Amino acid sequence: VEFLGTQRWITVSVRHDPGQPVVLVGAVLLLAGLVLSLTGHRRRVWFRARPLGTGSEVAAGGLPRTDYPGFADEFRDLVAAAGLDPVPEPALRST
Amino acid sequence: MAALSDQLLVITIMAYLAAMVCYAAEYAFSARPARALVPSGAPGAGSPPEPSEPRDRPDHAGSPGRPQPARALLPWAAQGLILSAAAVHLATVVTRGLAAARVPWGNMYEYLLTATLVATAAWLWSTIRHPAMRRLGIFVTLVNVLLLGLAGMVVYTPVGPLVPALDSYWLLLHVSAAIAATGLFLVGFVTTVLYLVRTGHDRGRQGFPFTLGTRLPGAEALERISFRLHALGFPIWTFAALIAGPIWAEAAWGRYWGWDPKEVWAFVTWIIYAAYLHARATPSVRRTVVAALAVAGWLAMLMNLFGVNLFFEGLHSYA
Repeated sequence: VEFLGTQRWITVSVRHDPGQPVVLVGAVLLLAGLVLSLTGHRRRVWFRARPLGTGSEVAAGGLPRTDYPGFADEFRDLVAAAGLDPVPEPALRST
Repeated sequence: MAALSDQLLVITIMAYLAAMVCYAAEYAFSARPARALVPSGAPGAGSPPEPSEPRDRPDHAGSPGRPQPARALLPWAAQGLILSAAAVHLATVVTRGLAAARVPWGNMYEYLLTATLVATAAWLWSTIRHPAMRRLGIFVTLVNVLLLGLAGMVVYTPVGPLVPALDSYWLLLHVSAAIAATGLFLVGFVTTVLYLVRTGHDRGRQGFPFTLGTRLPGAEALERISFRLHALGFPIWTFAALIAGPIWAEAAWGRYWGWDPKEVWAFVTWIIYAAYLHARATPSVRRTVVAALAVAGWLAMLMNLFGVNLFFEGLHSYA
């Protein structure tokens, strides 16, 4: 067996990726949006005023779009804060 | 230090077992809240804890408000045991890290060891927020004992230096986030299964797993806490698997994503949990279907943890 020598060699791979900062910013924004969408409580409240005699009839409605156990209380507080007489009609329905 | 860590693991498992027994005793001897609603002729009469009920009534009539001493001690014993189990568990992880002179997240054994610790922490946090959930301790400790036993007996790895590919600060970010998400999903899985049991029980299903439902917290509370755990775990999992992982892969292997088996299964898991969150936000999807998705997510998680590590050849084969 005879040793014939070696050839020295290297491989060099050079790359430039100008999109990296964009990807990073995108990922951070995505994560922030994800956390907001999971922790936020989307809900809607409507007030509708109609003239009725000398005063007006105000109807209130609310709709929680995400699961939010405190919505019923919050809605009640809002209606009370608006200075409305509580009507025994069950205006609240959960989806 | 390595031997100390191994001995502490045995103590940890024993402590969880003892806590589990205490929880089981507490579970078995606690009064059944649904009992008052059940008509006298209802099926289910004649189940084992029945004899404690008649004894209870005269006891209360004779001396109102006096709790039975042994029974009153059980919750405290269970709580003390699980707290000490968590402390020893933490010591096991810390001594393991000290023995290896690095963060203890270098192989599957250490992964499981830390993930179960996160699960215990997540569960203790849940019981602080929702004291009624304390009763689920029996199931959480059961899963912890199973996983820790599996870690110690099947995938145990002696303390050693890191695989060179893992020697990076990204190990700290990527693996710790993956572990945290795993621990949260683990507890979420337990509460989801119990939600399914409770729902089946409420619908009058008979048979073994549903009979457990009698003493579980209400279905709605279980479902809500499952969602909270998953909603907390999901962004962490997103960060671990789909952000930190690809960034590290780009630095180490020259590409963000290469459909390595671990990457595939991490993505499958992510898709299933995303489907869970979407399904839950959609009113027309029944909650039992939502829960089934969470269970499927955990199965994919297990596949990702055990299946990929043990059966597939890939860049993430560290087991």
